[in-house]
Amino acid sequence: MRRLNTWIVAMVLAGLLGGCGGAPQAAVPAGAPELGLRAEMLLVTPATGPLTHVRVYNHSAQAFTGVLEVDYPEGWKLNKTAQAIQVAPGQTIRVPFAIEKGVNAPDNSYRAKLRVLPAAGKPPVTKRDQRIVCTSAPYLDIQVDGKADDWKDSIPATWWTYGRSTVVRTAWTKRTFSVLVEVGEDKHTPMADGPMVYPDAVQIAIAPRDAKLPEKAGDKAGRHEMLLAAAPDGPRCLVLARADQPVRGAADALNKPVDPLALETMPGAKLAIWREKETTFYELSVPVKQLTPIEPEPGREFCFSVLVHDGDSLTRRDWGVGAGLWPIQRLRMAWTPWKGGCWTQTPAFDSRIEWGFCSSAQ
Amino acid sequence: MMRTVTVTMVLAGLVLIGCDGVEKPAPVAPVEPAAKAATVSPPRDIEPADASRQIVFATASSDLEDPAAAGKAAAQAAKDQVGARPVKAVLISECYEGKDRKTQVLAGVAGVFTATLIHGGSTYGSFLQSGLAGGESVSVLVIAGKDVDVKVACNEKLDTAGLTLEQNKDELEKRLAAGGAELARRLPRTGDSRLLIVVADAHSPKNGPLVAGIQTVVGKRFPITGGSVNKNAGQSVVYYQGQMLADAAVGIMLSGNFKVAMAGRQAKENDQVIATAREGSAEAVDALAQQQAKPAVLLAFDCAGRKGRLKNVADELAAVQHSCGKRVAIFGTYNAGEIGPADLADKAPDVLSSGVGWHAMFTAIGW
Repeated sequence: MRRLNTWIVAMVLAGLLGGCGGAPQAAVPAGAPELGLRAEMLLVTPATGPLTHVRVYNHSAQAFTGVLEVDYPEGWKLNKTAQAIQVAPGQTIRVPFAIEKGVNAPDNSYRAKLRVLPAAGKPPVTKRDQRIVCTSAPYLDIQVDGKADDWKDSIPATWWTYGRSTVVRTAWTKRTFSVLVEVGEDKHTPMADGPMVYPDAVQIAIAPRDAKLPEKAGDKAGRHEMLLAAAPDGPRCLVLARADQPVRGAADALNKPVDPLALETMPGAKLAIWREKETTFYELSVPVKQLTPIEPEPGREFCFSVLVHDGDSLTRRDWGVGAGLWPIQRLRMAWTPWKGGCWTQTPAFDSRIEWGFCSSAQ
Repeated sequence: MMRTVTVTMVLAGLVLIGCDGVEKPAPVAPVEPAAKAATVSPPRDIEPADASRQIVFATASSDLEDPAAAGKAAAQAAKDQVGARPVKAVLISECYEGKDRKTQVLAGVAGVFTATLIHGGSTYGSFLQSGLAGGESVSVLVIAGKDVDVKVACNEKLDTAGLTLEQNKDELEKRLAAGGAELARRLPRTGDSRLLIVVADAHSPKNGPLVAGIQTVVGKRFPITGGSVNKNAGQSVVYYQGQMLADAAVGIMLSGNFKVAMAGRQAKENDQVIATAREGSAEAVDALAQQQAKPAVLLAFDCAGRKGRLKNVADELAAVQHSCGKRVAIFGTYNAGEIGPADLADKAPDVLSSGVGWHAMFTAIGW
């Protein structure tokens, strides 16, 4: 029993300290401007020489002028490693950096060190060390068959929550968009009819690059949102939201979560859920025509995110943590609450996180 | 037991509150950096080359769901433009998905033209004066007329399959260079040879050593343009004399009494993709004009990555039309690598064409 308590404490501490987003942003020195920094994920593999961006958000009431310095992995060559920036109060800017020479890492994890200085040569007013990944869906023809062997050329995005890993892989053809989510967990709890059960499930959201969040009930969802779960009648891909349909629920939706077993199944979707050792796999393919207006093309950006509901531990894993989103990007209207999900007073992160389509790795 | 439950409940509470604390959510409105205001010249209406040469570049496309019907429709539409002139080559750019559908496209085109005239590659789409050909579609460029000579050769085995840049860089580059040189050796060149078009299963940056190998035979200043075929798994096809090949490269040598002018531009963001398409196409057309020639066709070997960065794909074609008007034939394809004048700060000064990525390579042919 003492061992179990120790494990629980260790798990919580690991969660508090972990997350793949890297170290939290350094504390702001007294009197320094309040700036949020975030290196965006890479939308195509580094070796292809993509453009990447760093976001700078000015929390304060004063405009800021200074220099943004970036330091990406050793051996990479960028067109610039420093740029002058001006950020108005409340504004977020995206500063582009062209990767002229990048190297793909086998674990798809890259360091990005960010610093903002009031002027070149001055001490930084804020800095952030991140680990970023390439969040891209390569062209792959996936068969949903309960085996992960045809995912070997996909690009894994991994993050850690409370000491457990989650890996997300995506793929596309002109006809299908596929997702594989690997959830490290001790056991898998399916959905059940009857009294409240906290099942295990994966919630995904996919939206066009310029998607707007709904602000109130009745607004268009702007995203396609699905719940992947082992229902009493088998694995089901349940539709929580459609981009061109009104969003379910409102800001008080926590009090009125939708009943997942009453949701429709995504037409044409195929889903397999299985266990291997201490990992639960969710393998999904959805017809691209169900995801209008998203049209896969190499280099095209879209928005994608994942929530993993671990009913056994009542925890929620949020890709927003892995992507290093800011606390102010926790947004109530970004996800549709459902009965049995791990919902709390703390909203999940914005589901509109950068993701890209790319060609097959060769 | 009670102590364990209490500890667990407290810890669960900490867990559910979350790691980052609770802050009043505020929407973050990402703001793009203000685009530099660019001075854009008025749209141009470039006069095409006259009929003094018996050379025709006919273009057509089709996006019919039935690939064979699409191939036939595009081919027939182009053939109708050619009339009785002798057809020297048919270049196809198709993006149907899967080998079966690609085979059907080819069969459709071969129902109109002799198979041995058909060359080209699988791409990520095309654009002509008539518009975009995306989704699943096929575009054709028919080169016809007694005043143009077309010689075609193929290196059917670049011998690079299974090699990767990460693990076999030196060997891969060696084989590509050798493959390019062999391709060039198989292509006869005369004093009237003006342009080499290369379509290869060698995506950027592999097209770099391929082109360098070609240049060991034709020279560093000979105009070379072209594109790398679609690199998606199962979708890479080089067409040569009506055959479907992989790990291959085709060279199409155009010879005759006409002029050629080239320009290349690189870009990775929407506004720059559009601006460079406008600038690059204008530069090629203007460079041709400096040779006292009017364009009969503008070839554009463009990058699929550039296409992916466009908020509206049609904007790039509109930019090209801004520069060359709507009367000059355009044959543009989206590729996995491009050959032409590199828009790079560190490019070799004595080399006209390079194999690169993220570029739009424009070649104006005229008299």
